[in-house]
Amino acid sequence: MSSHNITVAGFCALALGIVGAEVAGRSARTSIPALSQVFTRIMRTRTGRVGVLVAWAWVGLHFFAK
Amino acid sequence: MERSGGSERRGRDVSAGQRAGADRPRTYAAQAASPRGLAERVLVTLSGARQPIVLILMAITFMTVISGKPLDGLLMLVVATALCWDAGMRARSAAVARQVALAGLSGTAPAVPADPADPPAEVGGPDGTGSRGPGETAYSSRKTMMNTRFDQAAGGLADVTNAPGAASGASAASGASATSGTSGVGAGGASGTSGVGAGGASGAGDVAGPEPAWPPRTTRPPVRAIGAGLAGSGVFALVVGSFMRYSWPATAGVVGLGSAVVLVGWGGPVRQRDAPPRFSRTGVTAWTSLLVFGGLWELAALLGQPDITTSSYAHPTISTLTDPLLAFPLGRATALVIWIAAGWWLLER
Repeated sequence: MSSHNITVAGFCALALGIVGAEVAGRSARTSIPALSQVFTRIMRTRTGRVGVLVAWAWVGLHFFAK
Repeated sequence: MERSGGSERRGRDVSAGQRAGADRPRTYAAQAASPRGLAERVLVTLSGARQPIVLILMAITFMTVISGKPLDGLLMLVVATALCWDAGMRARSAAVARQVALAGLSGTAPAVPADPADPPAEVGGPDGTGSRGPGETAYSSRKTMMNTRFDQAAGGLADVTNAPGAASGASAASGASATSGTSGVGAGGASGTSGVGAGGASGAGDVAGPEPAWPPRTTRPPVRAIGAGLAGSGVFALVVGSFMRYSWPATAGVVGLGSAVVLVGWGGPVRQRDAPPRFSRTGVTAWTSLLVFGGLWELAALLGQPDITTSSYAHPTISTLTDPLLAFPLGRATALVIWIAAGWWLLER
């Protein structure tokens, strides 16, 4: 297995982990919160809200802006 | 369950305990003296750096700088520092407010007792507050009274929290921004208390923010607004996506929209939501592990490149993997739609 495939497999595992955690969070059988609950809690304070939105804005800057 | 989304106090039948808390002035937050000197300012800023989101922004700053985008990194650093300062100042104000309340030395606040029903300190109330014991100074008797009233306020708030149909900001006792409203859309609006006014001093790491610049919605946006937003997003994505990546028009579009959304977020939440209860250790561990794993994996791929600014097929980063998608206009427009949708979803939190 090449290093390229290993790297891609890591990102795929990450994506699967996120999907799995989200599914588990919505199933109500586990104590794992859904992603929406995580962000709702983080964004209760202004620091959390602005911080998350800045991180979101950075994603756009990173992929599109100079 | 508590509600988040604002900290305004509006018409609402409150208990005696809440009235006791409400008597405290809401100007406490502004009573903290501004830090003097560079050292004190640095300390205030560093005290706000305990916020996890600030640490994440710092990590993003680091990654951005080593990726060869120092300007983006500087921008992130400025925002992260501003958030540190904001959180540090609010924690400091909360701490000062508690000290002032306990000492009864507030100039703008009505000194205890503010409630006409409260007995004068010399007489002593039925609960024993106000009476001065042997060897008790005026300061200590006032401190005792204030502590009792804090407890009463917390108790009254807990009653409201537990009442059917009333979602209250009991978290204000721990410093969270809180909004409470009667159940039913539009029935009670938002009724909240500031972190100081309802529950005493706020914790440093979870401090209520200032009142929002607008009352948050309690429902979904109107259909007309959703339609306009979808249409606008589509036009934006097609127009900005038609420009090459890293061009000035694309930069202007993304910076403009990103700045606007961040400014809206700074003003306050646009939607009032039930804040979930504190997460379990398992839940925190699960999401934190994913975040840390993703960051380390991306960092490993980045460091595996021949040069920090040269992409590598053998060790592709997320940016490298998405390059083929973003190489043509329709792919860029699709990515922009996803980005805008994510921002919209976040604004609604």
